[in-house]
Amino acid sequence: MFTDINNALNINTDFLRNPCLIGIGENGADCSFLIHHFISLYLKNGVTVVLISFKQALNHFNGVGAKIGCNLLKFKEQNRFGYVDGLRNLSQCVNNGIGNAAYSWTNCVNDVGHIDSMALMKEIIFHMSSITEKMQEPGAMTLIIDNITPLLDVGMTPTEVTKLIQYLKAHIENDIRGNFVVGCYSDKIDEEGSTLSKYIHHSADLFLEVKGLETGYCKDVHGQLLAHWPQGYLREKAVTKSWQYKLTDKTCALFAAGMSSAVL
Amino acid sequence: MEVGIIPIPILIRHLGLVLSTTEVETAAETTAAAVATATGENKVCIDILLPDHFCRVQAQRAITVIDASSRVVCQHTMSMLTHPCQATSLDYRATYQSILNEVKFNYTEFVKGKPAYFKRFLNQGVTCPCRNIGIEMTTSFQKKARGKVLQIPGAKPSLYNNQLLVSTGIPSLDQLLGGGLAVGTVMLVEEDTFGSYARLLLKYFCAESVMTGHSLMVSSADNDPDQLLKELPRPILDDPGVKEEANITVGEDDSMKIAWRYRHLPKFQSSSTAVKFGHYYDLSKTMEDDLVSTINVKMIGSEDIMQSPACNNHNPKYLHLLKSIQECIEVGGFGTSATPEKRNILRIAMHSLGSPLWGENGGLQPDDHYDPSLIKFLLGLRAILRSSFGVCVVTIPTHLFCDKAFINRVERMCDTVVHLDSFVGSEREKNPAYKEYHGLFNIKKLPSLNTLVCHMPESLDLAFKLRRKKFVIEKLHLPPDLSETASRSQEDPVPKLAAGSSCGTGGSGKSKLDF
Repeated sequence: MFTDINNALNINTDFLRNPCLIGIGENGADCSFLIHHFISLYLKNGVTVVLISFKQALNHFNGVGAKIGCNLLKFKEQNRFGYVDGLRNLSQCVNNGIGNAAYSWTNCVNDVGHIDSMALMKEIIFHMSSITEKMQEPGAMTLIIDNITPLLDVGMTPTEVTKLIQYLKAHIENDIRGNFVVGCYSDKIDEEGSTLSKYIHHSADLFLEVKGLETGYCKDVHGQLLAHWPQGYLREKAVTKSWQYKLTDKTCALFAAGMSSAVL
Repeated sequence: MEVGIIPIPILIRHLGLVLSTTEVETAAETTAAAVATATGENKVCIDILLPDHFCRVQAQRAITVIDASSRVVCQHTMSMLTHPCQATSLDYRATYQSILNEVKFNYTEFVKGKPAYFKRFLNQGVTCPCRNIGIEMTTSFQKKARGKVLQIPGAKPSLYNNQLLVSTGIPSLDQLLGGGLAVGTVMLVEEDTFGSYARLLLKYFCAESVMTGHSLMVSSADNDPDQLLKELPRPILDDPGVKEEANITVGEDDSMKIAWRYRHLPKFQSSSTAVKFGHYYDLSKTMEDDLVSTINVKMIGSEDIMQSPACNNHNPKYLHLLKSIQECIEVGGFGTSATPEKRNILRIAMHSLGSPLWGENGGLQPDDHYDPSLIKFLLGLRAILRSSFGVCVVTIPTHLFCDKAFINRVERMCDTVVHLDSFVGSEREKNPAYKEYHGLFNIKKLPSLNTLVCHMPESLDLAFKLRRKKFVIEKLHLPPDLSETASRSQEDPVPKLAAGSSCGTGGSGKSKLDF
C-alpha cells in the first residue's frame, strides 16, 4: 500500500466497501505497481482479494508483496487471498492442451479456437466462489485482473472481451457487492486494444492511466499517473488529475509535474 | 573525547548477496557494539564502505540509525564504489585504490595498538579477486539465508532480487541486463535486417551453454541447427585468475609490507568469485566438436516441424515446437516440481522464429484475419518456463511484420526485449558518427521480476560492434572529431532513439530534450 497514492486518490473505507469498477490503463510505462498497491490496500483493509494474473506468476507477487510489507502467503492461509494462475490456464487452453496448468479451461475453447466469453466468465466465477466459500465470515470481496489484454492478444475479439468484463462487472456489483479492478493496455497503435481500453475507461468509476514521459526515460521520474473520475449521471464536470511518479524498491512517490525532488 | 575514538574501517562486501538497508544497519550496530564492549570505550567511529547498489539515501538512513544508538561519534560513508574488477575506467580503480590505501593505513595504526580483538572482526582474510589489494575485511555479519540457496553451476543469484541468473555469453550484455538472464524468462531479440548479428548472439548463447554444462535445445527452420552448433566461437580457456595466483605468491611479501600482520592469515575465496560467471570467446576460431558434444543437445530442424500434424486453430509448427519443449523439460527433469539428483538448467535457443518458413505472415492469415499463433506460442512458452529451470532466447525477424501493433503484442509476451539495428545497407553506414560501430542496440524492455522497479542500465544509448575476435555492446560514443568535410545539411548524427523500458518510455521521442 503506497500512502502517496492513497492520499492522492482520496481512498477511504467508503470507497473500498462500495461496489465499483477501477480501470488501470498502461501506455508506455509499467502499471504493475498499481496492481500491487491495490492488492495490499484491500488486504490490509479486511477485504478478500481474488487475483487473476495473465502476466506473472504467483512468486512475483509474493516477492513484491514481501518488499512492500504485505505477506501474501499469510493472507492466503487465512483464506483472504486467492490466486488464479491465468497465465498457465490460458496458455494451456489456447495451445491445445500443451502445458501443466492445475485447472483446465479447455471447455472455454471451441474447435475453431475461439474463446467463449460466457464459458470463461463461468470459470472465473467458479474460482471466485471456491475462494469465498472458504472465508469464515462473509465480507467484502475484490476481483483483480492483472491485465485483460492478453485475452485480446490470443484472439478474442474486443466484443467478446467487453462482454466478459460486462458480465463480471454485473455479477460482482450486484451479487457480491464487491470491487473489480481491471488492468489493460491502452496503445494508440493497437486499434483493438485501444477500443477495449476506451470501453473500460467509460464504464469505470475510477480510471487510472499510467503513461511514460514524452521526452523519454528518466531516472528520477518514471512516468505520469492520470486519474479520471467519470461522473456518470451527475451534471458535474468529470474530474481529471495528474501526477508524476517515481518508483523505488519499496514504495512509490507521487508529486505534481515538475516537483520531482531531483529537479527542485 | 579524543581518547577512545578508534577508527575502524569496515568493508561490507556484498559477496554476491543482496544486503538491505536494515542488514547494513544491523551489521554496523553490532560491530559498533562489539568494538565498544571490547575496547571498553563509549564511543567508536566506524568507516563504512558500501557496495554501489546502495543509493545515497539508503546509506544516509543507515547512518542515522547508527547515530541514534549513540555508540558512533562520526562516520564516513565511502559509498558508491563499484568493485575494482567491475570498474570500467581507470579513474574508478584509482579512487578505490587510494581510499583503500588510506583505509589500510588506518588499519595498521590501529593494529599496532590492539591486534587481538581486531582479529575478532576479521572473519577470514579476504583477498580481492583482482589481486591488487592486499586485504579486505568483512564483518562477522552473516546474511540470514532465505531458504536453501540453490547452487547450480553457471548460474548465480541476482544482486537485485532473488532470481537465478545465467550468462548470455556476452559479458557486456550481461551487465546491461543486470547481471544476466533470469532463469524462467524469455528474451526476445528482434533481428537486424540480414539476421547475422542476431545469429551471432545465439551462437554466444549456445557456446555459453556448452561451457557451463547446461542442456541445450536449438531450433531453426532457416538453417540446419547442426550448422549453428558447428560455428560456435571458441572459448578463451587460459584462466587469467590462475596466472594471477602465481604472481601473488611471488609478490606476496611486497604486498604485505604495510599490513604485515596478515601475512600468515590464509587467503579466503568467497563463493561468488569461485563461481566463474561468463566466459570470453574468440570469434576467429570455432569450438571443437568434442567440446560441444559434452552437453545434451536437442535439435529441432525444418524436417521435424514439417511433420507436425495439421491443425485448424493454430500454427502446427509452433504447436510441435511447444510440445517438444514441454517434453524436453519433463524428460530432463527441469521442472521446478521435479527432483533430479543434480539440478541443471535448460537453455533454449530459437533462431528466426516467425520467419516465413514457419508459416508466419506477420499475424495475418491468408484471408487477412488476425492470426494469433505466434502470440499463443509465446504465451505458452512463458507459462512453461515460469515453472521450470529453463531460459530461452528467441530471435524474431520483426522487420518482416507489417503491423506495428502485432510487433507490440509480441514484445508484450516476452520478458526481455532487445532490438538490433544494424547499419548494413542503410545510409548510416557511411555516417562518420558511426564509423566505429556496426549497429545500434536498443533495449526495449527489461523484466521486473520480484521487484517493483527493474534494473536499468546507466545509459540506453547503446551500440554494438563486431571486431575480429569479439562482439561488444557498449555505450554509443561519438568519435572525437567528425570529419570537417561532413556537410552541414546532414541530419543530426545522434539518432532519435525510441527509448523504451518497463519503467518509462517516450511516446513519440520527437523532442530532443533529454532529462
